Amino acid sequence: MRFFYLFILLCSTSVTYSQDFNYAISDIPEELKESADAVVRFQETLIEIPDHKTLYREEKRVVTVLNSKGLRHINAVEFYDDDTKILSLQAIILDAYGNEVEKVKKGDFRDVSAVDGFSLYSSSRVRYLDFTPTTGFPFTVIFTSKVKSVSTAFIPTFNLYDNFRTSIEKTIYNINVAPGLGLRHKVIDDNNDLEIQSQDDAISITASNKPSVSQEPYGLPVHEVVPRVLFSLEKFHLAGVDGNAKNWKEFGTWMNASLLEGMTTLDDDTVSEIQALVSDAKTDEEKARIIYDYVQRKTRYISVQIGIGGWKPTPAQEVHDLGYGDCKGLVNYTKALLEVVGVSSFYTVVYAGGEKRSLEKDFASLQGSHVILAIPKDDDYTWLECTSQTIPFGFLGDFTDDRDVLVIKPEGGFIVHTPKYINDNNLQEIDGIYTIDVDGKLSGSARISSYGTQYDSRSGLIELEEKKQKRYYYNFFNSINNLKIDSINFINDRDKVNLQEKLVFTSKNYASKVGDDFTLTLNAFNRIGRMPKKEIERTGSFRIDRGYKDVDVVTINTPKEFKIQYLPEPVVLKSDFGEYVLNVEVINETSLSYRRELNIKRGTFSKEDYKAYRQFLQTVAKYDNSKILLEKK
Amino acid sequence: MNKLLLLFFIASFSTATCLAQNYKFGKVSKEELVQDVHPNEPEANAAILYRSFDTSFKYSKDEGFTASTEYHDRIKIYNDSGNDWATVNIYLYNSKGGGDESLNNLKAYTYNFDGEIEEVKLDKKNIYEEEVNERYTKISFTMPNIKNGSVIEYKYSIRSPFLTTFDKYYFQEGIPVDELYMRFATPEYLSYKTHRNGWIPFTVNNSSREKSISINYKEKSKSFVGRDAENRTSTIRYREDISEVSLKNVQSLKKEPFSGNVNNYRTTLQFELEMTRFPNSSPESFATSWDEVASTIYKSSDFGSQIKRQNYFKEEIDQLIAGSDDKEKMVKIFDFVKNQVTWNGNYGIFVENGAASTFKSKTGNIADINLLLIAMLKYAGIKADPILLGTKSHGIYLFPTRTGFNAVIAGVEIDGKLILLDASDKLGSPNILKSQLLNWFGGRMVEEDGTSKAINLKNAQAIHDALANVDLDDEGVAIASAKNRYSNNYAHEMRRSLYGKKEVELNTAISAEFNDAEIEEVDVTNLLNAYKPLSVSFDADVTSFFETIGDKIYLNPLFFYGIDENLFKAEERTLPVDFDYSRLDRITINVNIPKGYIVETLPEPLVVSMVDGIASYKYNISNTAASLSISVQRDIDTSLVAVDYYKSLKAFFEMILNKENEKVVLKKA
Repeated sequence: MRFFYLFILLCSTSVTYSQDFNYAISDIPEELKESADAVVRFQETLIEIPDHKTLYREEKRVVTVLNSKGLRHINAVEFYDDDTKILSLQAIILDAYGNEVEKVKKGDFRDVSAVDGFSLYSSSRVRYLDFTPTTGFPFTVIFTSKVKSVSTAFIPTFNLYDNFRTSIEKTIYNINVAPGLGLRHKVIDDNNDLEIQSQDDAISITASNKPSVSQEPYGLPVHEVVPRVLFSLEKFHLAGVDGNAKNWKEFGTWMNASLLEGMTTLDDDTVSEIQALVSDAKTDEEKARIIYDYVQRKTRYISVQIGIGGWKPTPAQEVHDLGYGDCKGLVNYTKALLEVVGVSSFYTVVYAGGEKRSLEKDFASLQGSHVILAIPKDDDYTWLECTSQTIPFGFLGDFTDDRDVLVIKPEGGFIVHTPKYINDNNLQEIDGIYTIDVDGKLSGSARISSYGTQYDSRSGLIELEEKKQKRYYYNFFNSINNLKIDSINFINDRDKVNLQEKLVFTSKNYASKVGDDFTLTLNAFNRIGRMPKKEIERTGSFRIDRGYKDVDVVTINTPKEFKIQYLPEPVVLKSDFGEYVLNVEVINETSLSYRRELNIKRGTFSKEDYKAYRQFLQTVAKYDNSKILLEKK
Repeated sequence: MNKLLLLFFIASFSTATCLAQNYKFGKVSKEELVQDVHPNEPEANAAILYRSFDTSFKYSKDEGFTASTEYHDRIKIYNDSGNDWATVNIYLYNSKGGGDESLNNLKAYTYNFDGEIEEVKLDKKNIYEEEVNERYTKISFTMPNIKNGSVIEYKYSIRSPFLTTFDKYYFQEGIPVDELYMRFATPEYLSYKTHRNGWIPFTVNNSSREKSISINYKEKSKSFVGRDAENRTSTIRYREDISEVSLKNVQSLKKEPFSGNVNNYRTTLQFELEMTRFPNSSPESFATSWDEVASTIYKSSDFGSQIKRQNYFKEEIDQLIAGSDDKEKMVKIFDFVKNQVTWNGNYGIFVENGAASTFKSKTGNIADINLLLIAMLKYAGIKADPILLGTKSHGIYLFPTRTGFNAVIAGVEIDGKLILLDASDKLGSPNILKSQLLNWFGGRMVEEDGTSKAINLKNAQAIHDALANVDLDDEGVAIASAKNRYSNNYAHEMRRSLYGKKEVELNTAISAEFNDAEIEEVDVTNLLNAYKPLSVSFDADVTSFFETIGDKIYLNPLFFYGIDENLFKAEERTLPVDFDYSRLDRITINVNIPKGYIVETLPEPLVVSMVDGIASYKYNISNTAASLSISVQRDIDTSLVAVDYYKSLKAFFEMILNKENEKVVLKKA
């Protein structure tokens, strides 16, 4: 039986590779060249899994590069490490007519460490084609490679597009798995772009003549718009351990047993030190807060990635001794300390990033890019981000908010949704006062109070040195020229997740002189910033991910030598995207009360709505620019 | 022998007393640990409490002399933002056959204070070695148990067979350095000269002492390095020359906006081999002047010979230049190389592939391309010579050294005028170099006979001319039709930002240059013809610049051409301001006065100059019944402004900013 199976493999391989085309540029259909920097003429991926410890991947990728921006789409790259070996690697360069210009052999690929820019060390290495095009554009690269891996837990996902602005002439993905390993797959393809043939142990995907997709401002994330197919085995192998899972529950059980168990052991000294910390604490929450605070003070985030063993956290005792770890090490360490004081918590896998991405709820496989910690609380959880030394207890910020994550318990894995920070959760209140003198100089002070994601994006300010803080405010108050900041004070209430910034400042010539009079733009503190980019033809829907609310209340004092003229009328704007309210009231002859509210609502909107959204913001910008005249008496 | 021992004893004794005891490795004090802010710079996130460099040379029969430098840092970490200093990356060079550097005796500890001094040793298994690429290996580690207030201390030595140029010793960093000691001890056979940089004064103390080497050899040796039969030992006595520097309280120096490469301004000392004088062999001189540096480089087969070989391109060039005069020949050859050969992105003064194979393979580094260009120009009978220079990120070396150069361009002389060419830049044109090459120090042009001279890289002033006509229609929509003409470096930068862009992207890139104005009807001419000024024209919606308050219109008459932000916001500055090149903006705007309105007030005209002719500004405005006419000229006449002028430069820009925000008032007639 096994013999027969191997025979089929060899056969299928040779069939596809006997296809050879002339990749002349003239053969590319016109519609594939539109808005494209590169065209994938032909891509074939072949995955063979003869047993649960062996994965072969063979690639043939033919890319025509249309201009210099298309160079990054060649993708003639293979990563390798202790578990993954590159068996063959080759690139052939063709000119515009399809004639061979150059052949690059494996030895001529650059061999460097896969530096990710933030890890202290990574054992992963990469070989890439270091190629300078000399015949000009367009030209074509035929890249072929074959790799072998001893891990089968991570089967490459089929993505119709790897990049924006790349069109696809033809793409094929074939996977053949030995019987009994339990191949599972999930198709995400709303518009039926893919042709899929599936049997128990083999799946074949093809697609042809797909025009490029463009990146658009406020566009939906790639993982929501690109058709893709995910794969997983019921019987797999990772980091020297066999696994067996059909669903998230079983997957969680396996992860717990083979990657996490036994990692939380601490020595007696550490245990008694930690127990002493919480001796006065009464509730579990109190204990957890003390432990979290201790971890934040004691540790820092350092990434060290060694092979596929990178799936396993560093043992807790080691993190304790070193005072640093990566996300897995720090979460596991916090979990270990909580265990010592009798508080249970769960290792939780998540896709991290400002762009929200959920784990596939109904398809268990190795997913995620980060881990956090979940402490059960009534029917819900308290969430801890363990890699930050400053983030408040129970607060996730926009790094891991509002998405499906995998909570790993000894009895199995469970998909849970993390808390949302939306609309008026993300509140910023400015309470300020400013005075204009007879020379047009502004002297003012403001208290900026922020919550939710606005807290998240501003609280990092505290850590900066004064010079950089000032640079930040020069930017924040970009409508005040010649800004001079006299003092900056912060109150960071981490229990309430609220930051208060208190500023005192002046600006020469804030009011602009016209003859004997001045014009004064009332909104000095918080004008709406850059407009979303104008687009001639939008192709996709757009999304406001979280929304926010700003409330500004400012008292404005003007010099008694001048008369206030042309007070703006009250404004109330309502749209699908949010609301804007502006109200200026006279307190007396020389003072005004200025109130502005802007509420941007989260939501997903059609591409046609984009124009209206821009218009709404442009109207807001216009009212933010409302001026009065200070007329010399 | 006893005498020598005694001498050695005295020498080491004196070293021990001159290093105050608490800077000995491991002797971290409680005072250092409990200090919570830096006494001189309370803002500092970390401080180097002590740093030392100690370089000496060892002799071995197989390798001759090798250098060994011991690095020792003791660093205080005040807060989380200082944690980066707890991570150390060390790069070792491997010349692939010509020897490699090695790291020895790495020791590192973290100290904390918690009632008593606690120390944690860096475990070997947490030191990572990584082959970054064929030439470099990276050793990295991060210190254990870092808390606010921790002191870390590490020490290691690097053994190196490369004796000609040493890395710069940094006496100054982005954080304060409290105490610094450097020692550089060489055998009399090697003499080094020093290159200083930065403005913190320091003295180099020179002394010498006697030393000896024991050499095991076989039979009698005739030369210094012996081989052959019979075991013997001989002791050679020699003089060791020692240079020492001690410094205290070196203030930090950080990057500032428009400051270029901050390392150019930090205080450093660098050693470069000047001469070798081995017994029984004649002295060999290494670079001692820019002239000699240039001449040595020229003599290298990876440089001068590349220019001499000319037979391989004869056919193409003969055909190309037939019937042309010198200027035409230059342009044709320059364009030929520029269009045929593609730069691989690498700098360097020596060829990577060689000029001849670059001609064939059509790709190479900057030396490959420009030496090929020079060879062709010379073949065509044009006076052309290489100019060596250091790029901006490479840093400026004020003293003669080969390390000071990492790029080569061509200098052509026609009719007594010097023209600079860089064929590695596809968007470049004669005399217009990309800003990475425009260091303020200049370059050095070297001729075949080895003579060389300093070359000023100053480009012609970059000019932006703009003309806009603005109309407000009956529906209240205002459109500005704008024509812009860019020359020299302005054109070059604009070409770089627009190159390869189409439609929406092109619009976005142009709009970004004009305060994100809403533009359409975009037309770009001469984008690829670098010999002509670049023209960009468009229509922009400027309605928002007309503000109606009551029965008046307040108009910012410069529209998107007005400066709306002062680039220089900080009140103090320590580094010069680097504008890359001198620049001139000339803007003329005509506005048709909307029907039914008359001019009530106009801003005053203004003419100002900065001291010493650094910059000047003119603002003029006038009107007829039908239209307004505004002209502005901003002239920055230098590329580098010394820090002494910072306050007046800031004030100058503030004044421009205020002027350009002034309004014209129109009122209903």
